[in-house]
Amino acid sequence: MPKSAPDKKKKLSPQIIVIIVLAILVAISAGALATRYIYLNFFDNSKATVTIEDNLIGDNNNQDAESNQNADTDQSADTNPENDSQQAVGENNNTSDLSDSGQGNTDETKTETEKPKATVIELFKGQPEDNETFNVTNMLPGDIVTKYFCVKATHDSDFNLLFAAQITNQTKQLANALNIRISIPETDTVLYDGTFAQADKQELCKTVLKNDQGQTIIYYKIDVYMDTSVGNEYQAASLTADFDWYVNEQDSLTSPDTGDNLNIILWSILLLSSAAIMLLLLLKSRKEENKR
Amino acid sequence: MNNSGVTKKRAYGHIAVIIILVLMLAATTYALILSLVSADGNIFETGQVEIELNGGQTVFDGSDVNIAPGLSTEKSFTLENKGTADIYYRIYMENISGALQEVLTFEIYDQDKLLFSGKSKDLTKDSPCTSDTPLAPGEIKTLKAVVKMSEDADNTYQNGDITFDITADAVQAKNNSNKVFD
Repeated sequence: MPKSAPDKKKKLSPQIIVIIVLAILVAISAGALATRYIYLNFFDNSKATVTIEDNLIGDNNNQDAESNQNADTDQSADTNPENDSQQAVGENNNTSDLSDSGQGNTDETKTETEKPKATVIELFKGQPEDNETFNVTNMLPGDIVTKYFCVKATHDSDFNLLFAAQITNQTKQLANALNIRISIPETDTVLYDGTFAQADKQELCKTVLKNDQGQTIIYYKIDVYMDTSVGNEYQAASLTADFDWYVNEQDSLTSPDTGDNLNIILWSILLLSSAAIMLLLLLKSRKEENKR
Repeated sequence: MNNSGVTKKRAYGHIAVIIILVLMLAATTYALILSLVSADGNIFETGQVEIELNGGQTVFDGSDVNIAPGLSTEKSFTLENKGTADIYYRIYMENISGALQEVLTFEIYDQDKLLFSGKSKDLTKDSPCTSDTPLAPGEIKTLKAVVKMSEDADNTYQNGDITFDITADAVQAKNNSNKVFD
């Protein structure tokens, strides 16, 4: 008996060990998320730039400000051709755009964006009509429907922004007759132009170069169209697809900064609850051992 | 018994906690390693072009047509757009046979507007009777067909007849300003 008592004290059951290990991992993971959130919200000054961009993109009266449009398009923000207004983010030349917005000091914007950041992408609501999903009905041969999607990337190095369209549902093999053209309006680059069937799950790469702002806004123009030659067999057909933008570079990945505070509150709760569970389990096991 | 019950309870508790922690870990790890944004559920639906001629009923069924030189008979028939898009339509005759085709003149009216006038052999797929204005989805157009027998028709056409099929084709009006059917 005297020998077995100390053994019991030292030995934790395998389940408890697993729980402790998992709790520690969760705590680390949630802690990393929380740290990142705190960093982006309180120490990452480029947030101000985001606000300025938003105002510029929505400003239709800003069309005279194109004089300093950046030719090196990969390093600057892409424009939305619908109103030809220029995005704020970019290299060097974007400062006058920022001043045109009447908000903030452009010099501040320049100096505040030197901090290193990992790559973060998010669908960015640059204009009210951006990033609204397609919901096209009664499409006929010869029809073309266009939508713009705006992706904002926060990055401290060059990276490849990947796009993939995934067909989730279709009838009458409509993917063989429905065409999709994905292009970058700023550079007039067509990433893909062909049938949905061939585009399905195909990765389309857009290289985004590092810039002084540490942030790039990329507009994707997506045209979905049917040739006039499409036959009657595709009448009353439907197709549903998801569009995904993502980054594959593992070393520079973080979760997207969605601006949704609820997320980080959730993570904080998870962090605290896991820590609490860990403590409770430890205390409980010690109490029980003491009782014995 | 008591001890084993407590042990079981504890074991279940541990398992539950492990499952919760694994899920939490998976969620946090996923959020950390993945940078992905999506625009999900993009829907594309094609329209439909469909036309119905006279509700599927024969226009001239022979029961009430008793025509003579200089006389005419008329029949109304309908065209219904049963599709989801505006359409143009064309009407023409096929499989024409019988001696009367030489002495009968067909006229097709949209209310008072004359759309076609000519012999049955002139109302073909290549020279059909077409609409100027599109037919909206669900719209029903009533047309009038007037058949006149030439006053010059002699007795050789007595007890003569004519049989033909009337066909209506539809094509989308959108992106088709030239009314191309084929």
